[in-house]
Amino acid sequence: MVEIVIWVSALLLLTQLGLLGYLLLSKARRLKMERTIQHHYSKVLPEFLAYFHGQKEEAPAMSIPLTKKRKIIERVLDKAVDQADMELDMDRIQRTAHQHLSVTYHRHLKKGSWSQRVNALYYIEDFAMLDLKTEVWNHLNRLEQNDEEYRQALRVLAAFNDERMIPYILEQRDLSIGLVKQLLRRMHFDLHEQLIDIMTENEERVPYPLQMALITYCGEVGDRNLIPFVESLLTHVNSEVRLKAMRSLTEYRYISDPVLLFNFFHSPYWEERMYAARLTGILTLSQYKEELITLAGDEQWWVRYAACHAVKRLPDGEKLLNFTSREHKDLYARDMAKRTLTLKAGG
Amino acid sequence: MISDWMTIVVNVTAVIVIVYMVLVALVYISLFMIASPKIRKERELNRQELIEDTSVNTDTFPVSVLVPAFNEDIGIIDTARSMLGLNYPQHEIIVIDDGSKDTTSEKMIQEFNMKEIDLAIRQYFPTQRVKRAFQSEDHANLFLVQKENGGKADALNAGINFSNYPYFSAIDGDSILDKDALLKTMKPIIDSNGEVTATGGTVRIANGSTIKRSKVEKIALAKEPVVIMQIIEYFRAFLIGRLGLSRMNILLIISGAFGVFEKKRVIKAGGYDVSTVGEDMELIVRIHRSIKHEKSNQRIEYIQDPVCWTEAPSTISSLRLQRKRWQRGLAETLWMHKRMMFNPKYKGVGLFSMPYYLLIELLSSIFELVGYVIIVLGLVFSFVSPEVTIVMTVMTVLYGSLLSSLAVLLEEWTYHKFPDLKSLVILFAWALTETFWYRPMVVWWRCEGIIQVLRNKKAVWGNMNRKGISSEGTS
Repeated sequence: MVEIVIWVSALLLLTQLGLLGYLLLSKARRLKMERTIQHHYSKVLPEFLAYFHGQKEEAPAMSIPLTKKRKIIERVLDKAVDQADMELDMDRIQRTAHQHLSVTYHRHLKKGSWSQRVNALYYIEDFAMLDLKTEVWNHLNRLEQNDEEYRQALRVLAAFNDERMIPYILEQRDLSIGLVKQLLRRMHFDLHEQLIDIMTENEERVPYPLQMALITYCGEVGDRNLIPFVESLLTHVNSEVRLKAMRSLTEYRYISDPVLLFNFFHSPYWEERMYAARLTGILTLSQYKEELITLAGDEQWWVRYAACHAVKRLPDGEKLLNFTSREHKDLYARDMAKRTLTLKAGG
Repeated sequence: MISDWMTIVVNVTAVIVIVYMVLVALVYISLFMIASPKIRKERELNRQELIEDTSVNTDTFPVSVLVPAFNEDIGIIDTARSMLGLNYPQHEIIVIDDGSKDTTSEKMIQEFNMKEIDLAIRQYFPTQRVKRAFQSEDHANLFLVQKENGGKADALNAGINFSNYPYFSAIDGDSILDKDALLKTMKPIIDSNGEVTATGGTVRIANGSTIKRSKVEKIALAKEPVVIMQIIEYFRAFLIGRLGLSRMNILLIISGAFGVFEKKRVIKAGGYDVSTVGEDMELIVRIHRSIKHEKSNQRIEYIQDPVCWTEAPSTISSLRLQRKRWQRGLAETLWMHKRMMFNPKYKGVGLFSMPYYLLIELLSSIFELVGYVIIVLGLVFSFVSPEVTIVMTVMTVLYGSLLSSLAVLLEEWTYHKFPDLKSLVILFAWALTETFWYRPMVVWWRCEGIIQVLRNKKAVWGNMNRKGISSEGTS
């Protein structure tokens, strides 16, 4: 018995010592590598930035081993694109990325670890490496799990305005609204138009999350040509669609005819009453002040909140709120009006 | 004759304890095996790129950050500043002063130029009376709610009542959040289209690190052995325990120090329970219950990113109070939800998670105490066979230290936050000593916690004798 215990403990102790040795070695290697990369990075960064700004004609030469070179170039390019400097020559950034990173990313997408593949996809998008578009498309079709790798592959293709994305996302019923909006934000306007045309012609063809994302995205992007499309959805049978259209209009800060809002003040859905109040405030539609004061006493806290905030935005808002806080027949309306009067905007 | 019987009883007990500890070790090793592939898979991932899109996305849900505070005048300003500095598109910060006797409110009002606002609060849950509310003139998204004392859970419920956004984050008044903490913890919620209803991240100990202007600038180990041991414990609990359980969707705790919750789900579940000191765990169990009753697909997720920094107790007395309170909270929660235990209706939560917390997290202290008593008695009175004594000693040393070493490995794989080799050696060395001083101490306090529950003694807000974590460096 004692002998077994001694053997087991010796084995476990060795495991721990081995673990410690491994950790120390890998940490020492990592720290050394980081120091080297940082050293070269600070040396070449100004030269590369000068090249990207067109102050130098030739790209800086780098005589550094390949693995370190990749990391340094990634950091340099990342720094450059993060600066969001309009004077940067994007062609030169793309050329540099292509020259130093394309082969590695191609290999990573085919044989790399999960982290390597996802990092490659992030940088392919950031550095606009269009030469890898086909690789990314093929990679997307190989993926079996809908995780971050899948999401990023979609984002890359959307950013590259790959035409194949339209039929592809029309077939995906499980994408989240948030992800679809991320894709829409990356796509060119003509791709949005294609999707809106398809939705107008045959709504059934468009997956529900894509419909929702499209409607709200119209407001986010603020394209006035799309307002008739959004307003036409205010009479849609589905209340979720109507709500998204109202949300979109709050982003537009516009409605062609305020009469379109009238019925929503009396909607059985509190969310619609809330959006009606919010939109009235944003557009300062004084003709609806009576409706707003009525909604200040709504059964739903959020409607009361939106109504009082909307009243505050009207030209004589403070006066109306003071009146509401004193004279409204509903106690909750009076409380909310008082709160709104004391609350600083943005809170 | 009596001595023979005693020897038999002690030896049998010893064998039971050994078998128990082997089983516990196997459970932990299994959790390590479940947790480590995820950490290994993501070890080289560029985590900044991961959240880049979320930080500028208008679809990133707004979050109310709730900071319950009771006599927190030392740390509350730093905590509030850390919240104001969060990288997040839209959030409000609500500090709830739960009837503090010190200058918590006064400091907030003065520091942030706060003005009183009128109250129009929804009542999702009844709470102790809310007296006043303030809004900062300098930061429109910073609020202070003053209420009568009712405990942490009551303060959180009052914060939920006051909050405006669909998600809320609960954070301790003595914690500091990483700049991207909210983005990182909200990401699973956003990516899952709302299927993830609550998330928590790794909480790390700030003692020893340099924190300036509410930001962790330099990470270092604390000098006090008692804090170093807690650092190791936190690695073990978060990177092995919580990640392992989360991967099986049976996580029962999101740390009270920092977590994000869907407000609608918490309201459905009934909010925080004011009758327990383990309100963080109790809420998660109730959320699981509500999800299962609804047959919903929602889940609770843990992310391994270190998002929250907290001050660990650096004195024996405050550590003792904390551990007794934790044990009490655990026992109360398990008792309140005893019907879920071994109940197949609750699937993994009922069949694995609840028994795990009962048999391993709660009762292990009793088994371990018995083990220690046997070792000591065996050595002093020689009525235990020396073999059993040796086996027990070796098992307890290795059982603790190997897991600690594996936890350090996972830390190194994830964030390799310590900037030098020395820190690793120190962590390893102290991990080896755990069995001889730290563990017996904690085991005893945990047993005290169980006794306290059995005697039904009331527990209150923990007094940690805090020094505050934000300064040129704490130790």
